[in-house]
Amino acid sequence: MRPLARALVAGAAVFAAVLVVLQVGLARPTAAERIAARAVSILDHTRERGSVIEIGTRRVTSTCTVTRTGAARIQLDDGTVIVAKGTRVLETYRLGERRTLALHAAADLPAAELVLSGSHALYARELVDRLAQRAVSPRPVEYRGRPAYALRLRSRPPAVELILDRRTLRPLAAEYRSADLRATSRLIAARRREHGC
Amino acid sequence: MTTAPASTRAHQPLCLPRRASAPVGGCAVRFAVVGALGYGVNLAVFDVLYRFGGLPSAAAASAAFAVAVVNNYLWNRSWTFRATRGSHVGQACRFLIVSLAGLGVDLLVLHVLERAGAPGTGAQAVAVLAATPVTFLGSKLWSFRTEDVTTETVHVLPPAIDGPPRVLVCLPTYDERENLEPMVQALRGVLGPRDVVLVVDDASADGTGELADRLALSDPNLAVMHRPGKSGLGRAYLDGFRYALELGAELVVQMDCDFSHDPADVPRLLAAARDADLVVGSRYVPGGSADGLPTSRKLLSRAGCAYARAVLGLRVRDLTGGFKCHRRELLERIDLDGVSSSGYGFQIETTFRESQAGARVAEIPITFRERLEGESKMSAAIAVEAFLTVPELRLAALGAALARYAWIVRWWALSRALVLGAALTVQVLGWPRAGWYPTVSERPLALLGAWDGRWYSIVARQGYLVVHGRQSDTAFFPLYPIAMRALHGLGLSYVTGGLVLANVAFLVALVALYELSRTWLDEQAARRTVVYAALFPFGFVFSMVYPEAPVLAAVALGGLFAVRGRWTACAVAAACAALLRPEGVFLVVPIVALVVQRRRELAGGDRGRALTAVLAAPIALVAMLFYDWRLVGDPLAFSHAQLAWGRWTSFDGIVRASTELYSAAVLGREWLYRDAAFCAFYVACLLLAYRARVPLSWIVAGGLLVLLPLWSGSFTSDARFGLVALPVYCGLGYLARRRWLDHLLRVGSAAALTLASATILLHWP
Repeated sequence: MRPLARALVAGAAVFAAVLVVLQVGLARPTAAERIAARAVSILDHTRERGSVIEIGTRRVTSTCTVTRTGAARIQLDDGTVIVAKGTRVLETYRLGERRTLALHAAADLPAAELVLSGSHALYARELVDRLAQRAVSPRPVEYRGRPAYALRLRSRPPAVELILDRRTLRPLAAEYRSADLRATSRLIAARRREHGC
Repeated sequence: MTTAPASTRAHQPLCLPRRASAPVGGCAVRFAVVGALGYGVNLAVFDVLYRFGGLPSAAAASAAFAVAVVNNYLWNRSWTFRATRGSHVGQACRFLIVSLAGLGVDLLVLHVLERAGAPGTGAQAVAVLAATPVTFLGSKLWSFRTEDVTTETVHVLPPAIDGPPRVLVCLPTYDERENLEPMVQALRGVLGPRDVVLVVDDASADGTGELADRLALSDPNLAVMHRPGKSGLGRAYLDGFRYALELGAELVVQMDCDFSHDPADVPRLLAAARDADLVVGSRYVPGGSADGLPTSRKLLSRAGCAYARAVLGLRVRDLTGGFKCHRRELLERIDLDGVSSSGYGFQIETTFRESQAGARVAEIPITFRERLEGESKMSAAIAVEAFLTVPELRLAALGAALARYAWIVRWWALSRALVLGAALTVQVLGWPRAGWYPTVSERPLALLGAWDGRWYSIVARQGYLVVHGRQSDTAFFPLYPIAMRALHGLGLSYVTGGLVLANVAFLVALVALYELSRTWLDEQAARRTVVYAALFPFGFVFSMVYPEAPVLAAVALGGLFAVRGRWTACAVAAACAALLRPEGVFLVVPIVALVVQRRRELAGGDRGRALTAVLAAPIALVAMLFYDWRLVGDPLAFSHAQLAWGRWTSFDGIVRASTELYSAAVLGREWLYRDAAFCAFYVACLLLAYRARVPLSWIVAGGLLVLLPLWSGSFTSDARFGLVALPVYCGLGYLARRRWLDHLLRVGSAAALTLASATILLHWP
């Protein structure tokens, strides 16, 4: 029995030593990074039906679905359709016209509409990039009386900020700011079995 | 029994060896190597103290200089000039003066050059070059000068017995007149008729030598050696040992003449020598004590033993005691002329040398008492000598090991030169993707930090951050990035630290592999095993920022320690292997087999340690899972992270792997054929190794390493996973018994290794 007891004591020492080495030797993610990582996970597992976008005085409602190829199809109630994969706009056209609208690299409006329409794939991608750069810092704010975090998704202009519920980390709203444009949107969560993106 | 009346005995002259002349060749090169090492030590110590310790730069620089000087002193004494027979105090003082003189020359030249407008770094380089001849010549001609005396004549009054003695008790004396006669009488009471007591007297001023001669007139079993003057306890014992070997004694006992060692314990020492080559009378095993010593001496002795045990890796508990029994064959195996300590360091040195020579050591409990008459010879100088002797012995052993493994270092250097050269060449050429490479001046060898190297660098820099369902870093085991992080703390970049670790670990792995494979194969096959491991075509991974080389080293060292019965070291290696890669845990298979095989030979303490070695790898793995659970809430995060790469372990994994292989060309994954081919090659080599009588447990562990990853549904990276299956290289070593095949394999492997290194960027390892 004595050798076994010795081995068990030594085994406990090995266990403790390994934990100490890991604890001391590895850097630990900050609370902000852990929040952001959880937010990515929430974004991966939930969807938005669309959003109510306010661009200046204009107010439009967007509906967002995922195509068979995995792209996000955003339809605005003014008839504009934007098809995008991640952060890249594949095409944009008006319903019934079947004519692809011209895309400009610095086109502010479609970019704002895309960002504010609630595509989780887009938000998650931007957030993962921020995490890789160790540049996330959720800011505690209040959104319509609810405690929330404001999470910046881009370091360079245009600035995009995502508002997350502080308790569930579900996205509530998004904000877009460029030199010429300032827009916000309220996101509409998809219910179970509802389409969304 | 006696051949002549004692009164007819006469003193005889006896020539004994003394200092040998110092070796000359290669001194300058070794001096330069030590200088470079000291430079590195200086920088590292400075960095640690300044950056982490928060010391002011002047204090950190002074401490760094002191550590570097001690480092250079020890290396130069034991390796560069091999002047280990001189006194530490004198040599150290002279070396310090020479070092300061060198520093003075350095500063002077630097000052002159800077005044002349030379740039700082270039001026310092020239200044170092100018100071080096000064320090070299000063060290060689003054600090570590050696004498050419090769023999010294002493006079011996031989015993008057017929034939060689069975036991010779060696009693060194200096001013021990009061103790000598009672000690000789007490010994005669416990020794047999063919046993001899040898008094080695250092020209005692109180007439101990003359008394010994008078006693010998009436005692044919008493021999007396008269040495010309007091030259230390160690020298006295060595002369006594040499004379004992000349007389043909079977067992040689050494003890003090002052009754601190009880003559009544001698029969127990001799009895224990039946099953041991060296018996140590120990104060520090259960039943032993040192009650007679003052507390300060006790503390000093305890601390000295702990220090020597830790530095030298010895398991003997009482290393500073001088009550020992040596078997003749053991004394013949060690180089008595090479023993350099003269004071109490002698006890440590002889035990270390005998252990290195493979002695079976037994410790029996004794009670140590303070001397009955006279004064203790213990002094601060003796304690300092013993303190310095310990690291010097370790360095000397390291130097000897380096010389023994020089051929392995050559193969390692050649193979790594092929890998690094190929990686550098394609970077310079910008092939196969010009845009991928940073400039050579910015990040040379960037290629070797590619693929998983990027992930290990991320973990080293920022720890684990799991984003569920996405490519994540928990798949990359923690010990290697922790080591990279530690090197980064010393000023290296993460990638450079990873490369240094991997390449040094590979050298260690080759040495351990050689020693381990020698226990299974003949010498030539073991050497071939190492050569093929060095030149293995997929072995470029061993030089990348990957943990494969450290895993190979941990597995080989774990196996080697287990074979040698060093279970605690084996446990540490096994735990490290499990924390480097999940496959490291398979080391448990050969360890279990060895413990089961040796279960009857294991004594109580060893049995506990062996069980710990068995448990170490699984426990380390469980501790890591526990850490993951605490950190990210998922104990299997390392496995789940692989989902993002399309891998998950299931019963149908092998079917999925085969299906993927079948459609590899369609999927654009042609490199899978490479992995599948290596997998088949590994299995064939394992079968060859089994035929070469490599233990089945190692074959099973190798098989698990190669085949188990397929259950995750892909052949991807199996060529890399199999690299740590040690028996693969043994199988190759066994295969290439014919010279032409050996040459063909070497040339082919070297060419394939170079080609594979150049194409790292095409397909991931």
